[in-house]
Amino acid sequence: MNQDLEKKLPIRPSRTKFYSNIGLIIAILISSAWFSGFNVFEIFANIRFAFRLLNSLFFPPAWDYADNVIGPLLETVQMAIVGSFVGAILAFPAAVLAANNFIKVKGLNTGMRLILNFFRTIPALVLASLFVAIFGIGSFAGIVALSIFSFGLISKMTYESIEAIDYGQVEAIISLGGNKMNVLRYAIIPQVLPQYMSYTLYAFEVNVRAAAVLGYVGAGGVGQTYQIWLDLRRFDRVGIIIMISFVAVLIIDFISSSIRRRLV
Amino acid sequence: MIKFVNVSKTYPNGTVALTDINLEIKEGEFVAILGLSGAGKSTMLRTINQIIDVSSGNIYFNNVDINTYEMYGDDVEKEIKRQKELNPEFDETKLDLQEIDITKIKGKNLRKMRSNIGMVFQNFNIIKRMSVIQNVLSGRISYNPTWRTVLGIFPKIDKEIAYEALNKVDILEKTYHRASDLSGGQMQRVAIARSLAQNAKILLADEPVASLDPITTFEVMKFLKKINVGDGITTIANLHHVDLALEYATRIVGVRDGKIVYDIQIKDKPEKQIIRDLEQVYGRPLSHDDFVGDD
Ligand SMILES: Nc1ncnc2c1ncn2[C@@H]1O[C@H](COP(=O)(O)OP(=O)(O)OP(=O)(O)O)[C@@H](O)[C@H]1O
Ligand SMILES: [Mg+2]
Repeated sequence: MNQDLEKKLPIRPSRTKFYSNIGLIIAILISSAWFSGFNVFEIFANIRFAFRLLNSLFFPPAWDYADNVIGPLLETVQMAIVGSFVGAILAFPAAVLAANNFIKVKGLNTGMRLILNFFRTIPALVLASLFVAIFGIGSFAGIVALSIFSFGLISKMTYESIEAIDYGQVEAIISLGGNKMNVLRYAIIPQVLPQYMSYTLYAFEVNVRAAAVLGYVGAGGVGQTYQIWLDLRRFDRVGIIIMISFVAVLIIDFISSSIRRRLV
Repeated sequence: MIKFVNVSKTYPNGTVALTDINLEIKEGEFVAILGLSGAGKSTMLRTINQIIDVSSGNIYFNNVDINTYEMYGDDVEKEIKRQKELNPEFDETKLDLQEIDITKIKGKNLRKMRSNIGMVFQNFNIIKRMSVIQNVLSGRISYNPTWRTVLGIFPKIDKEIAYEALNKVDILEKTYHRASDLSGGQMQRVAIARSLAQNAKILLADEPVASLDPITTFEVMKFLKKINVGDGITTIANLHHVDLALEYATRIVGVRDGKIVYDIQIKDKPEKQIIRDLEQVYGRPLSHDDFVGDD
């Protein structure tokens, strides 16, 4: 390098900060692993046990029990469908009220958003245990939980879509002498409908997975069957439930997401 | 027909867009509003139908029937005759024509006033995911109960009005196409048809041809002129091109920094003189960009 250039070149910034940051991250990782009792050696010590469990779960698969899985699995899918459907219907008006470009009342928009965010932060499993306590064991509690969960999910995404619409079309409908309902029908719904349907399908996908687990707290579906055989330590039956559910979730995800791709 | 009296507009962020606008527009005029970007042209246009409210001042419309909020304009006899053709039972003795200040009315009455005033935009603002006919029928929303408009079930008479409007802008063959499949010029014609279906007495056009190529530009301008002359629709258009204003408008209003600085009837002055005057409005010499075609 020539001397002139070397003189002009600014001083290279010190790398100490970079290294100390990496050091800090490693320290945090190790200490949190330590405090949570995570220990690499323990994994290896138990690996034999893990293999034994896998063996009893899947080898050989309990094909004779497969028929009995279909019923509860269908119930799970039904729960997911009803949950996302009810959630979606409730979500639309909520999203319209939360969007600040349709009803321009700041208090209402913010209040609605607070409510939506509140529902969104509660995990489906917590909702399910709550509703099992209220309505008793069974799929009804699960459906209510999934409805509320989907409501939170869909309304949040939908109100953000409403706020992102092309406002020119709203102006056009207003200039025609349209009222709020006309604006909704002609300017807002045509613009957000594909997204809204896509969010509903997405909620359905999430719900199928969530619904499979909800039974564990007694909220119906395949999870409930799963829990019964796990308690009885019939690992072969637990195994076939896992296998079939896994395949079902994959298929549903595939179909639903390919529809979603076509929507937007 | 329209009278601005001391209209000023300051946006909530403090931007002063209009100062003390006084302007009177007669029925049947084709007014071109010219001025630099940011001069306040769009703001001025939007105060007419109160999409933007004014900070002070008034905007009057003469001869508005207080019962229906329908505008009878400057030539009341002509409008009564037209109403009688549309409806043989029309009773002119029930008319109560008054001057209405649109800045002072709200809610349902404001919506009825707006239904007299059509609007077309630079980016068309038609509903892309609906068919052409649905778009034109949306021009009829203020004449129908909300339940009908929400269900999208319009009476037969409205459909006939819509077909006629589409025919007038030569696009009837696209009636059942999805609006998003049309070209820019066709979209703007659908927007004009929507205003016709609305039965607008006044048409506001905010840079109606700014996103069109030269050939389509002239085509759309011709349709605007056709409905201005043929149907007597008072037209106010913000335009970027001086030659379009000279060819299609009857009057040029120049706006600069939120004030009207120029106002002439085109027939009263030679074009060369007007072009020279406009350099004052723009505060700079005119260039190629201020004209669509060089001829
Ligand atoms: N919603 C708004 N809030 C704040 N300021 C605005 C708003 N709309 C326009 N303005 C400002 O008001 C002034 C006039 O704007 P306006 O859109 O009326 O100009 P224009 O003459 O139509 O310009 P153009 O030729 O670029 O369309 C500009 O300074 C603009 O930045
Ligand atoms: Mg503008």
